Amino acid sequence: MSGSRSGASIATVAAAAVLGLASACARHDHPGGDRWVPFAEIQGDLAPELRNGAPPAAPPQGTLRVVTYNVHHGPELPAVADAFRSVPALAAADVVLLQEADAPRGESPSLAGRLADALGMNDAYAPAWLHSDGAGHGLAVLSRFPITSAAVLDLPYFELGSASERRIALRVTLQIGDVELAVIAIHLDTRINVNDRLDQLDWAVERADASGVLGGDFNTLPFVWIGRFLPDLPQDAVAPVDVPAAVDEYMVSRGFADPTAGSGDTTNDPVANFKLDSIYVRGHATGGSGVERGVTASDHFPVWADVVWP
Amino acid sequence: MRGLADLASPRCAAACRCARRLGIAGVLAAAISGRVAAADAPAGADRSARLERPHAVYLELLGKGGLYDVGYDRVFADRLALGGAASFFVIDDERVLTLAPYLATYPWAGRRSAFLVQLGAQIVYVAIPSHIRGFSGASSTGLGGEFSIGYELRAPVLFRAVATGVGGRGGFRPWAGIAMGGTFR
Repeated sequence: MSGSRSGASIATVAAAAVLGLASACARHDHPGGDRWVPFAEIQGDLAPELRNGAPPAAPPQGTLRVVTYNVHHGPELPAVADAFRSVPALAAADVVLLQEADAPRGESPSLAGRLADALGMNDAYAPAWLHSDGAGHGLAVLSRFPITSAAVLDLPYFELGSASERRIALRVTLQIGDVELAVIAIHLDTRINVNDRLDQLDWAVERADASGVLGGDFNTLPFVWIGRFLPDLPQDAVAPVDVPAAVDEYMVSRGFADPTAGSGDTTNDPVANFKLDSIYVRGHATGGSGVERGVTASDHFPVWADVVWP
Repeated sequence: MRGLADLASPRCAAACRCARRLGIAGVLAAAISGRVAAADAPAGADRSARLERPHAVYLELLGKGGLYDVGYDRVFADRLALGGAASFFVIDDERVLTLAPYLATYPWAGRRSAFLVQLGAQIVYVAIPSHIRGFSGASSTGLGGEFSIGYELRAPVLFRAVATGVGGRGGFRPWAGIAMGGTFR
């Protein structure tokens, strides 16, 4: 009898723990900001950086190449710069979206700015948060064309238990000849499930221009996240969820083309790789796309897509 | 696009590394289990707790169900058991159902404690209803294999701690579980 009583107690405690975990995963904990905040309005430690020192390039003939690249804090900046000079697919880049771009405290320009200088591009950099040493961590857009406006949107915030981050989208307007192009760089949370991920993305898409480019690191891992902490690995081994397809479906329903849909894995990890990075285009036809798996300066590979221009 | 070999090799390497770790863990567990067996099998002890109380029901945290599972198994011979575990949970509206039948053997066993090896299948169904306009929802179903090694104490409360490897079309993934429950005749 005592054995069965203790068994029932254990079951009760475990069930309570399971229910507690499940209930902890409410919808986003705070909504995002409701508007794009221009760079000029952002002051203090999170002040962004907009630099238009490069001479404007001529409008592209035929296609405009967009690259997205999570540079993993950018310690391999020389290798990244070298890749953008030597790898033909990257050397043709007109616009580069960077995620996990850092800015060491007290240094200007940011690492993204230094990369832009090395490549003869303009840049807009917006930190989302600061490391403990005061270094900024955020998004950047590099462009061969003048950046005429830049703004930041706060995305819905999710409390992840540990390593929760403020997530943002960075929107710039590029002046390409007589035509303006809106470009949004984005980096979504890691340990959130599909509906939450789309909720976070939807916040930016609802506020995006009728035409333009939206790309970045969507963190589309195939896991069911337990308590926004633990990936359900047995589920992932046996019945992985096609999260990139879910994001593609959502974006297509919002009028975007998904030229990188069939790109395959975009991460550079010795154990397991996933498709996390994508580029979407609305209001313009798209051309080819690719993943540069020979560029190993980060834990992601650069992903590119062509936009038919004009 | 990457070639199949490119895609497969990191996963195979991970599987090999994990198998090596599982192997080391198995040897350690066997050694510990052997010592325990020697300690708790006094001369004259002729029936193990597994034969005396062959039915077991348990609740496992993590384990075969990912988050949790409830299971039942029955010992048919002193060193052989057949069982199954199941779980269903909902997180962020994502529904995960797991069914996991398995065969268990006790290569090193004392009267109450044993080194446990389980081999089984896993059937997993994931359903994700949509709350977002433009996303119709998603689902995923798969059949995989599972291999576990660990320690069992049956006295008569059941305690198990296992290291698990699960393989399927998503690759190979390591996992672990701790189960507690009861045993009965």
